[in-house]
Amino acid sequence: MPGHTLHTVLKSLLVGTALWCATADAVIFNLNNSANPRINIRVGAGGSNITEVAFTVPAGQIGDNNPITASGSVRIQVQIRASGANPLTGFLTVDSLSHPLENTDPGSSSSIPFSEISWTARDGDIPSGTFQDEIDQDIVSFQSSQRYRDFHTFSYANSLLIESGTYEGHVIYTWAVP
Amino acid sequence: MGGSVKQYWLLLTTLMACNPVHAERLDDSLSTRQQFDVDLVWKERHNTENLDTRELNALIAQARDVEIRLNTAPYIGQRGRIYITLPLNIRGTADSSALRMSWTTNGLFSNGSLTAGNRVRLFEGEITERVMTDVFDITFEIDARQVYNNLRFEPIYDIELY
Repeated sequence: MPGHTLHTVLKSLLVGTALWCATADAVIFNLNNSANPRINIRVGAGGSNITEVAFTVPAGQIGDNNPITASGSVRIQVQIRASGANPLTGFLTVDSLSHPLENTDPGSSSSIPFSEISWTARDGDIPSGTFQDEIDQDIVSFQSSQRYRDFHTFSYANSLLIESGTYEGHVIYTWAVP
Repeated sequence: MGGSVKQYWLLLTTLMACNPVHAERLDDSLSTRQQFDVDLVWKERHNTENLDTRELNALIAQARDVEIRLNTAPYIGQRGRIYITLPLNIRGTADSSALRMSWTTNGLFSNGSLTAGNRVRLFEGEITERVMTDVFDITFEIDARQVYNNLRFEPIYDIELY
């Protein structure tokens, strides 16, 4: 019976092909996602250095409302890395309240609030703003995974009539994932 | 009876269409290990300040001394080209094209690299061994932003005779 013979041959071929597909094992690779999220911040020179910004106000111009712009700019850079399995958001804040600008002359108790100082961003990635005399002033937030870098130029508003002298203080930037 | 024959032909044609024309899949089940578990970690862990976005998000995993044994017994005395293919759809990533596999060997097969969904030649010439064996050092690299889970896949080996 030719039809039956053809049927049997085809059936054998079919079984053989199916068997071949089933036995063609392959070496399997499992790539386990072990990339822990990482964040990084650099302000100014980076490392343990504290970058200084200085304003010089001539004696006859104290409090005349003509802003004084510091020379140079400060690099501010933040990074946040995480896999797509666990995307994160980082928040950049600044504390401009805890360590105000204080007159370093002996016996003086004068101070200047940091709200007298503002900054202009070169690129706008980390936007321009003014210190608000707050412990955790929000500046910007970013989602993973990116690196953002900008250069800020600082300006002293010079709106206060203050005792002459040298005033020093510092602000602290914090880059964190809640 | 005629209907059954037609159905078998259709099924057989469908099954054969699973493989490229004139290419036959090679069995690598003789390989000493059938599964490799490796960790994806950040490629750049230090001095990352000046990396671009691609470099910043690069993850790598390395598998060393991966012995691959291909059963080439049916092709002894014939000339063939052996290829490796990475499957197009890889579990654990939304964009398989983000995965690159590169390798070096001990010399029987060619060094090379490829991305998911693509095919690269490993060997060309006369098949003289019943089992062709080489040891691979493999590096996988993928963009972290495309990794949504652990990745799992199996490269496919096939041969074309000429």
